[in-house]
Amino acid sequence: MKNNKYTPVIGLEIHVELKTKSKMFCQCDADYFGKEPNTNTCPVCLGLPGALPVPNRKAIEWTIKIGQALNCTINKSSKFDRKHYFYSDLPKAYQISQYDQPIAVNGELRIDNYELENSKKYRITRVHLEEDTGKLTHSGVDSLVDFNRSSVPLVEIVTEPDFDNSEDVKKFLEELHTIIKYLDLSDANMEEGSMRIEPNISLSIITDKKERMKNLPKYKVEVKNINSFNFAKRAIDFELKRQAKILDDGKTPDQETRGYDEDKGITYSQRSKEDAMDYRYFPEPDIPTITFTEKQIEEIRKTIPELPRQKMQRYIDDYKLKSDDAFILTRSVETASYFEKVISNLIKNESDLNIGKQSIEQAVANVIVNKRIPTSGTVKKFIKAFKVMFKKITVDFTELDKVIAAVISNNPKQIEQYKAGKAGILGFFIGQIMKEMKGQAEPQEVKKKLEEKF
Amino acid sequence: MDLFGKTVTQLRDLIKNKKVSSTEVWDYFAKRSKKYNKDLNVFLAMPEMEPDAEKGELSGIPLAVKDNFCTKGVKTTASSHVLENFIPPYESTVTLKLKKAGSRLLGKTNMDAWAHGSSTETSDFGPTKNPWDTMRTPGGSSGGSTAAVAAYLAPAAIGSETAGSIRQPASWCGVVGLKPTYGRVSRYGVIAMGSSFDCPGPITQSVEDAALLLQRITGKDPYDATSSDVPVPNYTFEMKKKRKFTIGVPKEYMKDLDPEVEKKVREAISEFEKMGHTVKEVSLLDPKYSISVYTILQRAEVSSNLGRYDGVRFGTNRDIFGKEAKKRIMLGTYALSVGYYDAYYKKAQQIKTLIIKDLKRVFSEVDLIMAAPTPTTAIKLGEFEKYAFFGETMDKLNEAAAVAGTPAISIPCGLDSNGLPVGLQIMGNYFDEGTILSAAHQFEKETNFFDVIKIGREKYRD
Amino acid sequence: MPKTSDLTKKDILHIAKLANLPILEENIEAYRKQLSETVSYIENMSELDTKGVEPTSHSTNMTNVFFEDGTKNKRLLSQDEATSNAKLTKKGKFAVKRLMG
Repeated sequence: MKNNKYTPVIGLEIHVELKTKSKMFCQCDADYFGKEPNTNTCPVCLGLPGALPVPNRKAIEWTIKIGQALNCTINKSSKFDRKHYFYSDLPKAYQISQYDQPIAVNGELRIDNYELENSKKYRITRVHLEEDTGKLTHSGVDSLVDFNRSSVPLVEIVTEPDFDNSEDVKKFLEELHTIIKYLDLSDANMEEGSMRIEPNISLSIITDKKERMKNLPKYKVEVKNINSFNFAKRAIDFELKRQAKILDDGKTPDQETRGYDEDKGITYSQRSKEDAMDYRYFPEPDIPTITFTEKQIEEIRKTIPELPRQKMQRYIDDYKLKSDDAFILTRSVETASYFEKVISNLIKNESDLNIGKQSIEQAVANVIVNKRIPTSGTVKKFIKAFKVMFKKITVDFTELDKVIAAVISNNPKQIEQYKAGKAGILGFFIGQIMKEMKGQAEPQEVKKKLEEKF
Repeated sequence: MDLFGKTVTQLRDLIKNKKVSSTEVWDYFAKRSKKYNKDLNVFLAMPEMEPDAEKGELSGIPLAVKDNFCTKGVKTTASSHVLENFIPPYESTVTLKLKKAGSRLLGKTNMDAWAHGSSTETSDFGPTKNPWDTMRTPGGSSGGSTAAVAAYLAPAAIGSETAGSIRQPASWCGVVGLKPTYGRVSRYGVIAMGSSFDCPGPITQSVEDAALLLQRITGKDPYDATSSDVPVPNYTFEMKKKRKFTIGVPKEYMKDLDPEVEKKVREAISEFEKMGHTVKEVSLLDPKYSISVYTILQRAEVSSNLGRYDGVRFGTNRDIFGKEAKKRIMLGTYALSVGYYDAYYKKAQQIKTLIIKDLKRVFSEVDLIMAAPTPTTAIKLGEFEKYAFFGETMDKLNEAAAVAGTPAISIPCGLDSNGLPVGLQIMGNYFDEGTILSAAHQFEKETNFFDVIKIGREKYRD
Repeated sequence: MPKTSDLTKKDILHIAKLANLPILEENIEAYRKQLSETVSYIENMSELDTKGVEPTSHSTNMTNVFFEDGTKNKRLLSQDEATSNAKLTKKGKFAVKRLMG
């Protein structure tokens, strides 16, 4: 979107469902998928009178982990708060969430686009832990509620409004998604709802970034119901256009929540945020405060695996990979781990292979990135195919000379072309010769011989 | 065998020694309860006898339980029309522990609806009458439970206290009522009123029974994150110790009392002196601040806890809430709303810190604090409307312990000139129920003030 | 402390809306009066100096109470149990008359 009058101001609110075994405040299964309605509840997550919440330790540790992966400060003292609103899918009429003492604050995430030096930095305001609601569906004149999902642990990640275009948002979401998959604590699947994104979008007339951040627009529009990163980009682009038009008319867009319609590619008004929701937060009396020692926080940090950016840097530094190859390899933890397994197995047999000037790591990277051998099979299968592909060639020179002579004599026209100056025709000869030799020759060698002959 | 007036301890011994069967004991109380319930309106539900109970300390003894404890398969209403058809699919920890100890559920007792009140008159199912004088209220909100014990419809009962809801009705019904330390007894399954105040506790005829029942219901519960892991002592053992204590009497708590209440309470305290305990005057923060703190915090929690009653998974619609409930929900909502949180809720939490400090200071000088549990004796039905802040006035002497979470007991210490029971309140330090029970037990054994209980139930002897 | 001993009718309506409580027009004045009375009583809190005093949320001073992920669920309700107290269900789900807007 090219509109030089306005600069987009976009912040993100991302929710990630943790794949703990148990729910956030009770022992029901956190994996609710595919279960018959209301067969995965207990008095606690159903909000029955008299039921009480007890927090899941692992969910808290995993939230710390996400905070650390996003370079946040972990609050040594944290608590849960009640966030009140009425909706049929919220059984207690309050969600146990975190208000003013979240688990993690003030982080940042750097997004690379192949070139690590040209990374952009986005600030993470906070990372906190809360419980999910039940699922509300509509059937005719009724709304139907299933509480199987109620109280599944949900991590909320909030960014500062540091984005000024939708493409960056998409890249950010992809990186965040990759990090979460590396941490292996959520399926982070947008279609399945284990990762949700709500951008907050407005337009500013201030061009200087510092000034703009100090004087944010007086309104913002929240967009919900976005089911993929692509849709996020489209929804944002639509919104920016829509808001620009309103501003051009001299008006201010309403502060509201809008839904995204992916079929029509538009956002539509859902509920007015004018009466800013009064959530009446107060500290959850049923749950004592949570404190962490420096040591505990460090112990958790130690369990964080090498993250995508670190890994990418290591591939470039240690394996001398091209940055775009390193980038592609690290996009999924499965691919990176596959790559690492392959090279650790091959390194022993390096000398047997004909990979030219590149290192084993570079060769394998190249093969994977260009999909020359599929990674869907086992590492063993890949290595076998790789060895075949780069088999050292034993050249029968007498045979070679015979073939060269034969190919030359059979193609007089092409010889004329070469003599006439078409140097490229050499490729034709090399091709023919390689064919005759069934690949059992070195193309560079053949080229040299041909040049000698001519 | 005449069972009339036997304590739980005595009944248990009779059953264990095969002098009477647990079924006979059940029939005895079930018959009495059905007979007198019409007049007294103590029970809201009386289930069938559970046949297999009785293995355990409590040998099949029937107990009355306040209707805010979720009892699986037995209607639980908190005395509100909103829950008039609610049958919990699960059991509260307290009633489960009692079941496991071999007791039987005699019936669910009437209470102020949602525990909002000090007279059991806000019940949607009619008030409970005070067995001492059926024109009067038994107090509240555990009025049904205290009346059950006072009229000997049950040998003991379980109640709950947020601020005064065990102590005050216990004093108005002339029975023993103990509010344990907050967190000493699990709240899991108790319909929440004030989450940071609610304490389940025993209501009994004797201190011995209170120790016995307390033992059965205490302990850390993995289902209640606020339940304490402080080790549970042997309360009967602690109770039997004949230690001499230093007792503090707060001068701020001896103001504005009904003169007859003051007289009886002072007499009781001087008995302790005669027994060899040391009594001294102490000073505590004026109870009026506790009232404000408690009012704000409790109503904020109430407004939050009652949000779930939306008629979807259980209960009726929200318009069915009674006036008192609506009032409290609104005040609580107001105190938490944007712009008022700091001024009300946060300020109250800060004063709570001061109240706790204040009590701790006094407990560093004395072992126990004694006072009246409530400024008056039982008032007439309908009279509460005369008092501005009725509940608050009745409960003001209970609110410091409620806010701080310290334990306290009310025991009978005499009668006023209308023949109505007067109670003595004994407050203890955190988790020091043992000291409270010891002092109460000494009073019970060495004076005849407990004969009060016998007088009260005489007209219900068959 | 805000001088709010006198709540207005508008305040009452706003509070009732926030609390999702239907109240009848004829009762608004009674609620307004009662709430105003209570609010003016509790204003005595301002008599105590709480500068620098930490608010207490939990009187028991406990911290870090958790359960271990994967602990066996002993409280699972069947669909029947979970829906046993509902006025209206449809195919195992709780049914509510559809909310407009």
